[in-house]
Amino acid sequence: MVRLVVLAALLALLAGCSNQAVYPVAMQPEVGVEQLPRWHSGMLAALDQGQHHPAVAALFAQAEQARQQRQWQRALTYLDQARQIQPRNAAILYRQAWVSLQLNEANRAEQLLRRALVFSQQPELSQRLRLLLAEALDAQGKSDAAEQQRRRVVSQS
Amino acid sequence: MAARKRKPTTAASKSRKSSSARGSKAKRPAVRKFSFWRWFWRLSAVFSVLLAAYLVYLDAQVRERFEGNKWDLPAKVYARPLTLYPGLALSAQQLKAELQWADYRSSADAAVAGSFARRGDDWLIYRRAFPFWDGAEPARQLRIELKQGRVARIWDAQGEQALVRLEPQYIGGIFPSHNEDRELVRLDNVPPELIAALIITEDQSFFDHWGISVRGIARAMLANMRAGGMVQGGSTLTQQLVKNFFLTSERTLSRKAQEALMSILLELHYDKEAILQAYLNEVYLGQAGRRAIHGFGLAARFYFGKSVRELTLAESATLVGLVKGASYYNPRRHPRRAKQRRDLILGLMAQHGIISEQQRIRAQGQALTTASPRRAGQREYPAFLELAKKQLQRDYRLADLQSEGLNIFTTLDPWIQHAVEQAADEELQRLERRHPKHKDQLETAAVVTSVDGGEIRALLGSRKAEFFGFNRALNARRQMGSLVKPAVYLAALQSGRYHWATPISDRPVVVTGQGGQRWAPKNYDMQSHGDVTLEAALRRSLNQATARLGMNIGLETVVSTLRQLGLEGDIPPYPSILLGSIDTSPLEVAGFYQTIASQGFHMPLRTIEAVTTVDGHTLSSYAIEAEQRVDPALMQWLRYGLEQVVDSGTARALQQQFNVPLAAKTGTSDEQRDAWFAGFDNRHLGVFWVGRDDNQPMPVAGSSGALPLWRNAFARIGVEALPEAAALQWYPVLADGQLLPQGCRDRRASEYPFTAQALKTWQPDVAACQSEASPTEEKSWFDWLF
Repeated sequence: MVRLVVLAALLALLAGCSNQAVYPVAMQPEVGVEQLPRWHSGMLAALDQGQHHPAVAALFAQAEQARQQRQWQRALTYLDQARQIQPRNAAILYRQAWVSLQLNEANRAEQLLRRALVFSQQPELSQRLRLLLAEALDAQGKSDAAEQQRRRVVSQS
Repeated sequence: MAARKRKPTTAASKSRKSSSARGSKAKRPAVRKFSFWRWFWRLSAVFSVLLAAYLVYLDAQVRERFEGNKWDLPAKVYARPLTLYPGLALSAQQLKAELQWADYRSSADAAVAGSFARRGDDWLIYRRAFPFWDGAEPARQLRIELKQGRVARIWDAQGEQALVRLEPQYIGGIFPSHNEDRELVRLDNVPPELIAALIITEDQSFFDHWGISVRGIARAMLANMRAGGMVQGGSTLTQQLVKNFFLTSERTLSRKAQEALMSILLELHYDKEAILQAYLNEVYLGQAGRRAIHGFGLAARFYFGKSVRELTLAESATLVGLVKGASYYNPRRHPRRAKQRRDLILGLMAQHGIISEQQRIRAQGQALTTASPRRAGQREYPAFLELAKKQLQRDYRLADLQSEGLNIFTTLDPWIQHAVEQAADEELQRLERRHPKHKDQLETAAVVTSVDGGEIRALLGSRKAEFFGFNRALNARRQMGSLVKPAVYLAALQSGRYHWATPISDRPVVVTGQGGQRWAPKNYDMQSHGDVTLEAALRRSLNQATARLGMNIGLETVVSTLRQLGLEGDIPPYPSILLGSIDTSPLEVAGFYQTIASQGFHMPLRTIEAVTTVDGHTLSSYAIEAEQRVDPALMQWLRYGLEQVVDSGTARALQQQFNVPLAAKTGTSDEQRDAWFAGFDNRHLGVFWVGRDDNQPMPVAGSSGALPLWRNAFARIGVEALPEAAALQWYPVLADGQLLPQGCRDRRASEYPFTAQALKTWQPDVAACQSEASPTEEKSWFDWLF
C-alpha cells in the first residue's frame, strides 16, 4: 500500500515536471513554406500568417499593423527584433527582404534572401526564397542572375 | 559746399552773442535754473531712450533664451533592452543584476514602478513607463516565471504574454564641451513637497513678488541673524535662475542691476509655473566625474537611483539642501552636513505647516541613504561609447548629438560586458601573480559580437573599464600573429588544390625578398615536424608549414582572401604577412572573424539599434546588413579546421572546460609581444588581446595569455555548441591524401569532411580501399562484461 502511494506520488511529480519543462528557442527552427505569408493577386497577403514561436508571432502581428499603415521602416524594426530572437529563421529573413523591397532596398533584400537560403531546410521554402530573390535581382538590373534563380525554381519543382 | 556748411555756425554764434549781450546780472539765476531743468529733461529723455533700448535688448535676450530650447541636452545612450519571452535562457542571477543596473529596487511586493520582488521561481517586476524606439510603453506590472535557467511564462495585468521588454540601462551620454548633463522634468512630475521645500528655503515670497523682493531680502537677513548663520539667501528664485541662465558668475553692482532687470522682465513675460519649472531643471546639484549634474530630474537619478516623482520627503529635502552648495552638502561626501541641512529644511517645512509634526519626525529619523555613484546605472562604458559616437557621426552632426536630447538605443549587452570586464580583471591578476615582473604592465582589449547579426555586445578598451583613456579595442595597432592563419587555409581550400587531409611539409623554409633580405620563420617549439596534414598544421599553428603553404598559393591570393573576409587597412606585400605581421586593432580582427563565424557573410559590426528625438519620434532604426563574400559551404569547411584547434590543438584548454564543439584560433606575435585569442560558439564571437602598451615581450602566448580571458568570459556568458556542418560529407582519406569511398573500412584511413564542390575535384578511389575487419566489430574485454 505504502509502495503504491509512493509510486503514485512519484508519478504525479514526474507528470508535473514534464508539463513544466521549458524548451529553448531554436536559433534555426524547422521552418517550412507554411510559415511564409501567402501571395494574393501579386501582393503579399499579411506578414503575420503561419505558425511561429509566440514571441516571433507577436512581433509579426506588430509588423503587420505597421504594414497596413504602410510604415515600412517601422515594420522592419519589428521584424529585426524577431530576427534577434531566431536569427536563422528563414521565414523572418524572407519577410525582412520583402519589406526591404518595398523600401527600394533591393540589395539588402538580396543579401537577406541569400542568408535565408543558407538556413532553409525545405525545397519548397527555398523555391519561394529564390522567387523573391529573383525580384530583388531584377530590381537591381541583374536580370541574368534573376533568370538563373527562376530557372533553378522551375528545374527543382 | 564749404560755404553752405559754415552758415549755420555763424548764425549760432551770432545768436549766442546777442543773448549774452541782452542778459543782465539779476536775471542770471533764473536762466541757470531754466537751463538746468532744460538739461535735466534732455538728459532724462536721452537716458530713458537708452534705458528703453537696453530693456528692449535685455527683453529680446530673455525671450530668445527662454522660448527656444533652453538647454543643450546631451544624447542619452542606452544598452539593449532585455527582451523576455518563453524559452529565453536567463538565470535568476542575470535577471536580478539587470534589474539593479536599471535602478530597480528589491521590495516585498513590487508595488511601485521601479521595483521588483522575487518569490521562488516567480519574479514580480513593476516596470517603469519607457519611450522605446518603436513606441512609448506605459508602466506595467509583470510576473515572470523562471524554470531551469529559462523564462517559462510571462504575465501582465491583461493575462499571459509572449514578449515583454525591460527598461534598458543608461550607459552614458554624449555631452557638450562643458559636460552639463540634465534630465528634464515637468512641474507636474515633481513631488509638491519638493517644490514647497525649495520655496520655503530659497524664496518664501516667490508667488507674490515681481522678480525681486525687498521683503524677501529683509526676511532672509532676519532669519540669518536668528539662526546665527546663512540659512536663507536674499535672491529670489527668479534672480537665481537669471544668474545661472543668462549671466556670468562675476559679482559686481552692474551685474546685480542687470540681474534685477532681467528678473522683472522674465516675470513680466512668463508665469510663475514656467519660471519654477525652468529653475528645477537649471540648478546645479553636483558633479560626477566629467559630468555636471543639473536639475532635480538627474539629481534624483544620480543620488537616489530613482525618478524625481519617486522621491520620498526626506530625499526631496536632501536635494533641496544641495541648492545652497552642491559640493559642501554632498550627501555622499559629507553626510553629516547634508543631514543637518536636510533636517533644517524639514523643520522649516513643519514650522510653516507644509508637513505635519509627525511627518517631520519620521523624515528626520530616516538615515541618509544614497545609491552608489559607481553602480552600473550611473557608470559609463567609455570604450563602447566612443565607438557608438563614431558610428553615429556617420549620420548625425556632433553638435546635434550634444544638444538635441536624442535617445540612442545600442546593442550593448550589459550582462556580457560585465562578464568580459570581470574575466579580464581576474585573469590579468592571475597572469601577473604568475609573472610578477609584469605587474600592472599588462593591458587588454576585447570585442564580443553576435555571430548572426554583427551586433557588438561588449567592448573593452582597457583593463580599467570605467576610465576614459586610450581605447585599445579601436585604436591599438598590433601585429595579429597567427590569427591571420585561417585566411591562408581558406585560400588553400578555395584554390581547389588542397583539402584538410592533404599532406604539406613543415620543414625549414627560407624566402628571399626582392631586396635580398631573407625570411626564415621558426615554429613556436623551434622544431620542424616533417609532413603533416593541412588540418594538423592549422590545429598546431605550425609556422613553417603555413608559410610554405601561403607561398605556394601566392601572396596575392592570400591578400585577396584577407580582403574578402573583411580585413581593411594596410596589408604590406611581404611574405611575413602569412604569419600575421599586419598591424590591426582588435575591432578589425573581430570584423574579420565575424565573416567566418557568420558563414561567409561580411557584416559591419554595429553598435546602434535606433535613434529617437527627445519626444520619442524615431529618426533612424538600423537592421542587419550582410553581404555574402564566401560560399557558406566553404566556410563550414574552414570552420572544421578551427574546431580541431579547440578539439585537440592549441586551444584544447577550452575543450577541457566546455566539452562542446567550438571554433577558435590562438595568436602570438613575434617575441610574444601580443597574445590573441579569437573564438566563437553558436551565438557569440569573442576576440581578446593581451599585451603591454610599451610593446615589450611577455612570458605568455595566445593560448596562455589571451585564451584564459575568453574562457573565463564565456563561462559566465554561457556557451552553446556549434551545430553540425550540414554542407559537409565525410570520407575516409589515406595518409597521402587519397579519398576512399564512404563506408570503406580501411584501417589506414581517417575520416575528413568535404564540400560538394571539393568532391568534384577529388574522386574517391574505390580500388584503393582495403576493407578490413572493422575495429568496431572486435569485442573488447569491456563488451564481454555485458
